[in-house]
Amino acid sequence: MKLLRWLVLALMAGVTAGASSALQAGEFLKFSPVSNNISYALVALVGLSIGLLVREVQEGLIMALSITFVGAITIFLALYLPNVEVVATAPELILRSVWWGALSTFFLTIIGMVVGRILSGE
Amino acid sequence: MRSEGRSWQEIVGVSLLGVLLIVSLALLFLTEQSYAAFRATLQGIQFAVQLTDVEQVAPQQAHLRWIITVTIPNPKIPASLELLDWHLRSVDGSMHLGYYTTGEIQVALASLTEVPAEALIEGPNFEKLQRIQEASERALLFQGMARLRFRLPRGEESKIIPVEGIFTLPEGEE
Repeated sequence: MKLLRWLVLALMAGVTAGASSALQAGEFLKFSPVSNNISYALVALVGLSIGLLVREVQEGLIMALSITFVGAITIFLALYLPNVEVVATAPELILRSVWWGALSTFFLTIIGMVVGRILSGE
Repeated sequence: MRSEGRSWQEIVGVSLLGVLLIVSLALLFLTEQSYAAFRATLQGIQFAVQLTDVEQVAPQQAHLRWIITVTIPNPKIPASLELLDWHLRSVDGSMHLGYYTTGEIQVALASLTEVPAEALIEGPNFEKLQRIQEASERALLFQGMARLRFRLPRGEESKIIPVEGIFTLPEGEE
């Protein structure tokens, strides 16, 4: 039951963080209805919500890594699917966006988690 | 007290995550739609060049007018077009009849837009034009560049697209 809860949370948070992070990827920057600051804030809010749900530092770190992993897959799919024919010839065009998106997702999630732990008073 | 605190955090944490999931997926969906519309417009845009008028205005001068028809199937993104410059050549590429420009005319694009272009051909270029008119194959090649500006939700994207068309000159007067 605990594992299922953990998996569901990692999946929900990872998809949310990845979708938010994809909004500020170079390919989508001009097409997004929100600024990149808002998309960063959304990722940090994902970290904050997870910060309210996890109990230990180790659990938080594993969750942040899982969110980053699921988030990176989400960013990759979000960029790959509308650009299938371009990526087939030049995959590096989106891999850089995926890498930076994953990196920012990890650190923003950690920052959000710390804020979440502080807000929860623990 | 401790368990009450945890349940409060659980409810807020899960609710916030749920709201964020819906918001981020909705934003990503809108972004992807806008991006897909832009890509479809770029892939579907078509140009057709048609010579509408050839007029000899002086002994060594001819005025040529064209209509460049731009077709965009199902346009969803506001865009404008600027015809940057163009060259006229004989179809085999052996004769170059000059370089022309429209200046800075921007035309808002709809599903079917007609952009006028004109050139005053004079001097040695006029002589080349006459030679082509007198030849059996009176075809000319129009090669130009158009700058398309798309107004996107967060800024403007501009793309330069080649415009090419072959047209036949009316028979020259002997």
